[in-house]
Amino acid sequence: MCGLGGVFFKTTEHHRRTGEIAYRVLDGIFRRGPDSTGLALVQPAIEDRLYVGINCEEPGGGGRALALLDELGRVERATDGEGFIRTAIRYSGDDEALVDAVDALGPAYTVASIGRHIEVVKHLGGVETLEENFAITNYDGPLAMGLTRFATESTIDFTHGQPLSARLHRDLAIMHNGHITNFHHLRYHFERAGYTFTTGNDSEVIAVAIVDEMGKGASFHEALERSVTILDGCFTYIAVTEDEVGVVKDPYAAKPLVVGETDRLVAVSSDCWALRDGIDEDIEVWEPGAGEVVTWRIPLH
Amino acid sequence: MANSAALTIDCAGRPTRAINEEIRRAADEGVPEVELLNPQARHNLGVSVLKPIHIVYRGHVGSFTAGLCDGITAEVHGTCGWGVADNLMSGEVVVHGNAATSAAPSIRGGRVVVRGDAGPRSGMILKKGELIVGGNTGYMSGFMMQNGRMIVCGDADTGLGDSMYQGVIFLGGTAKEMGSGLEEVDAENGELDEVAALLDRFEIKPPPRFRKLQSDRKLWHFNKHDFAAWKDVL
Repeated sequence: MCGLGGVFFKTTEHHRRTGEIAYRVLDGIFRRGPDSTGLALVQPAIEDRLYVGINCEEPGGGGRALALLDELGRVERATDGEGFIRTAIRYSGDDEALVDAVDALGPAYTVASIGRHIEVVKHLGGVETLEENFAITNYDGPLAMGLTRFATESTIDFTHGQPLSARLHRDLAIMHNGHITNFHHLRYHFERAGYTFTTGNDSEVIAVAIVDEMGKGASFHEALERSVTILDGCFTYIAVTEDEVGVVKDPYAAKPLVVGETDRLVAVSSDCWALRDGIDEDIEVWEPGAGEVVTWRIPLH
Repeated sequence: MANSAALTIDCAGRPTRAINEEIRRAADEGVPEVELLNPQARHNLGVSVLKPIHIVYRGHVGSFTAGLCDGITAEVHGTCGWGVADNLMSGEVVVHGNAATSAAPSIRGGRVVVRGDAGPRSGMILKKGELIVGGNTGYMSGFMMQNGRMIVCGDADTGLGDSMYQGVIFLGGTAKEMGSGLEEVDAENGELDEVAALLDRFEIKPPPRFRKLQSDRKLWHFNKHDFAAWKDVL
């Protein structure tokens, strides 16, 4: 199943903190995906600060990962969530050197996301473990979109939790409800084209497909539109970049997602009840149709 | 003994099961009407009510509203989630807003009216009874209809009435693409007047004209000479 949901604000005035809304929406769709919960947040760009999330499947291995980051750059803040490490680092070097160095720590360590704006947090279980570890309700930036995962295609651990991104690609996070049936075929194709995959999660191919299309010159919206024909299977997914957010439905409209929009905010959720409870407003909602792609620009932040 | 007082239930903070049990009890006791306040888009409200009662939903409701019911009437003053009036046996459910995916799936009787737009797969596997959509309807509406009638005043997305066996669809607007195995036929005498009168009853503005669509019955039996049609379907 999996549950999708979150909010972004068009204005700087928020009637309720962004993180609090995301918490409530994700809590409302907990039963759609009790295995793990994750969020993509949009943060302000600060000089050479990078938001780096690290999957660490080795118990107690957080210290090693943080020591490495401190060698490569300077760790400004870090939270070791025992499995997922959330960091903000000052780093002016090459992204590839950083990702390779983390990979060199061993197979238990991978870079989950890297961005100047997009920050990912994830944890096993429901949204309350995300809150316990990363205090997400304190977040009050422009966007928080997340997923409650019901693992079907790959294992339950931090690495395979969502949001996912494409290796070495900054500021892109995807959250996917459904399954991609031509995943192995696509992965083989993309690997031959030079892409490296970080996880065994079929959803990762969505991020790679978007990066590939944008690399060929497509806009974000066009890339999402093309993904509808590239990907096979049942999917509803959310994609977030530093300045745009989009929702995409497969041509069968097999997975739910409702959208509520006012002049102040856009909220989405797999479930209309969770959406309304999250934003605390009896808002009118609508559901994108089969094969539909809807994108919004995130206002300057 | 018949009970003439209407019942009001404030759903806020109450478990769905307790609300449903109260509605069923009221129906059993002959209460004519129950009004639900603060449904807050909650799922499964008013499910499995098998005695006549009128249910008024004051606000948006979630999925499977008024599902598995027999003989009830209901009005929803808001939008609906997935599968409103699922498997209705008899009665009438009127939605004054929009309905999400699969409105009135598999209904076996009665009537479901969506005055706004309906999502994908509305009226799928309709077995008897009627679905009226005042606005547009989504992808694959009327899919595998087995009988009954669907009236769509606006436009339909792709795959309208795909693989339907029997029953009819009246379409006021245009279909982005017709489903497989569909043909247009002339309406019978008086049929369109009856549809117009029905729409008037629900204060739905009728379109200038209707097209009557039904199964061309070509998919009823496999015929190897007609392989191209089957390939298209499968």
